[in-house]
Amino acid sequence: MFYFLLRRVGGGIFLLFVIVTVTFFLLNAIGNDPARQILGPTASAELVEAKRAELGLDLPVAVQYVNWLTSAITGDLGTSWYSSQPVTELLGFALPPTLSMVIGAILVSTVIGTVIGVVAATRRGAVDRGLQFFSTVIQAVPAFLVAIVLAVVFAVQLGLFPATGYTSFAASPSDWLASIVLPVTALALASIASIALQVRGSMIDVLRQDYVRTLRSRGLSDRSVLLRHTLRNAAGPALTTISLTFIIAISGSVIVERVFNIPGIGTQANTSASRGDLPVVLGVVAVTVVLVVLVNLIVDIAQGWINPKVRVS
Amino acid sequence: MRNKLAAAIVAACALVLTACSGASPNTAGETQELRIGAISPIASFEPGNFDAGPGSAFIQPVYDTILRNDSEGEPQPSIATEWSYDDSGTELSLTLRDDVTFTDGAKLDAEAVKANLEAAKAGTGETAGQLRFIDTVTVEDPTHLTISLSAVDPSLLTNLGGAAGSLASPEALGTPELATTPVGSGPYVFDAAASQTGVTYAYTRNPDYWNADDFPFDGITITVFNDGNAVTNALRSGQIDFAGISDQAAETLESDRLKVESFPAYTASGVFLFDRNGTIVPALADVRVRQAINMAFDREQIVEQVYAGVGTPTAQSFSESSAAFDPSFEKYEHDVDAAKALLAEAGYADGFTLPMPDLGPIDPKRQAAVTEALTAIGITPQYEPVNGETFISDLLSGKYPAAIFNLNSHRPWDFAQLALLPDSLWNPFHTTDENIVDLVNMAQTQTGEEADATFRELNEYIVDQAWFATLVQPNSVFGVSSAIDVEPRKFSTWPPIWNFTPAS
Repeated sequence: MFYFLLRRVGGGIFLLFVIVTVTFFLLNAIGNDPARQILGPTASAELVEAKRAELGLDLPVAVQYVNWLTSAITGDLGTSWYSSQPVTELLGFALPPTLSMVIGAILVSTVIGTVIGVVAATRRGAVDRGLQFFSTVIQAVPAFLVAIVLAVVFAVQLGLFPATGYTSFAASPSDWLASIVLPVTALALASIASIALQVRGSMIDVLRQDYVRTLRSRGLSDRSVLLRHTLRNAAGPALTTISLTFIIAISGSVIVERVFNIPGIGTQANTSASRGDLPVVLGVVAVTVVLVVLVNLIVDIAQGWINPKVRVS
Repeated sequence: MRNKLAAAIVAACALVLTACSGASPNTAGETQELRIGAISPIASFEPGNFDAGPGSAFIQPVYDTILRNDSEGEPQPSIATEWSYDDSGTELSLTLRDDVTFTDGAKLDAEAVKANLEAAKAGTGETAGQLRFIDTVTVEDPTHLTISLSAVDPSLLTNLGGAAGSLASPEALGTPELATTPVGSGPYVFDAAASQTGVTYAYTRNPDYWNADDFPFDGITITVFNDGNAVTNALRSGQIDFAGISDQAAETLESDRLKVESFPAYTASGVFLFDRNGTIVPALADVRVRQAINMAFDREQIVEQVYAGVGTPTAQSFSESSAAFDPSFEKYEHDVDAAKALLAEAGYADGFTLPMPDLGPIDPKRQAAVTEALTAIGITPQYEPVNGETFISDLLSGKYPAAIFNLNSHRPWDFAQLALLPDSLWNPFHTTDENIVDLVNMAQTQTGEEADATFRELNEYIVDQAWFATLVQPNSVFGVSSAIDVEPRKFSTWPPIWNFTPAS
């Protein structure tokens, strides 16, 4: 298990290194002059040059990259070129809203998707056909459209939830919950469908196995066969879907945050990328890659725990 | 176990339902908090580094200004109670209040005003440019100072009554913290703990403010939105009281809870014919070509179809609200045949190609209207892809001979400085016209009716020379909660916060 984890962590670090490196050089290749943009069109050439020196933009790109990387390794992701705030501080503000939404979406879609999948696999018939029909429909509707409809119906017309904004858990747990219900729903809906379909398929496969018939013939209760044996063996593919769900939710959060005006990582990425705020873009990319690697690692560990064969593969 | 689960679900639902307090609208008669929606955050709170448009909403709660412009745009007493120019118009003497203190305890005196003016002039924002004629500031005593100018500046007093006259604590000037945490002497105090840079800006009442009666709200919150739908939803659900909205949203927004207000935007909108020297497109050097372009547009129809009927169709770029504007200067009737004849007379019977930045992705209706009109008289717009981040600097560097654009059109003097002189920022090809220079120089030392007459002459000359193909002076449209009233200020794109009051 130790070497298994080591391999996964090593792979994650390599992936992180490659992605931030590519991002750094791609953004530099765009060729914008952030110093001119920050100071405005009326600033003199001398002031612009001084700003370039202040930001370190007068150094060769390779040197800028090495400087950034060495600082980043020590945990210093630099400061925003536009607001002069430390990038770690900006990420500290942006991460909780996004994680609240994404983790909420994973939990909701996992629980509801699994329940629906199990019910459809065991009941079959009309329930199963209904699931397949609605799953196809729901998966075809983009998250931003769901978000807009939810905001108009449940926030504007019914007034049940705030239409925009995010309240931190520390400020008010109940307001926090209210502020993430609609974004979580928007992000979770498509994932519920895909997880349900995945669980349904795996469950049906497992339920056809000989050992399930054997267990039943020995007189084990349906509940025990279903939860202790069948679901556990069917969980592997579903876990993979959950890790994919996380990646989809992270990317979907860019749009959902915009619709609900939530100041999360997606908003931060959007704003900083549009004005070429390189340190913030790199910070957002780095933290997103770390999150994705982390979730994949957790899923790998869970799969290894469920199925020991994975550890040696 | 099952009961516990059920209880947990019920508790969670109860929590959600009790949490449904996100939208607690202000109601008429209450004076709680003024909640404003903005489309972009303020770049910096440092004097000299902020803009004078919607950014004013962020700085007015915390900063007093040397003077304060009233709703007609005229300077009135504020921190300076009296002021006068010498005979040359280049020495401005100010008398200051002696009872104002910044919220960090520093005294607001003549030294503090001098420090602010010098810091602001050294900045690079729009307000720094407004102070460019200031040469020296001399402190006579704690309540008196003299501002010496390098040349007469007809707009200095009104600029000191706006964002350029903002006063930050001298203790905070020059510190990096001032960019994100303002320290002033204004009616409100910036609440850093409740604010998040770029997202939310919260202000609480300054208990020691010298003019509290002018500010009825107990607090102000400004929320930054990245999306027009989110702004509309926030207005409709009562989360905010005031925000700029699109013409389209305005058509569906009005309700018991919301009013739609439309104020002049103080911009000239249309096709800007920058290349009057013919550097890139030789045809544009011929005044007949520029006049033909002006005749290609059906301005009334464009206002109806592109601007949802909100705005004034006009070929004049000087503000409709200024003395320079005159309805008799509307000399370009929509006439395709006459425009074609004029082009033929200039030697362009077969038309020509006009490169312009492609604004189709962000402003498709306006671009379509321009394309249709130009094509009708034989001119082919050749749209070039635009990089949003470098768009303005590309325009300023003379990359495009013409562009669909909006430009501030405040007071006549300001517009002349902005766009008409050889070194004006928005004269990217540095077109020089001695008649324009002479008229602007003449107006610089004039006042009252005399200055108005000169600016009218200048405006008519610009229209005759077809320096621009202005189509409309549009309005800004705002969604306003029925709990508040708001009054615009002349020559300002955004109402000042002292013009917001609880609904009467």
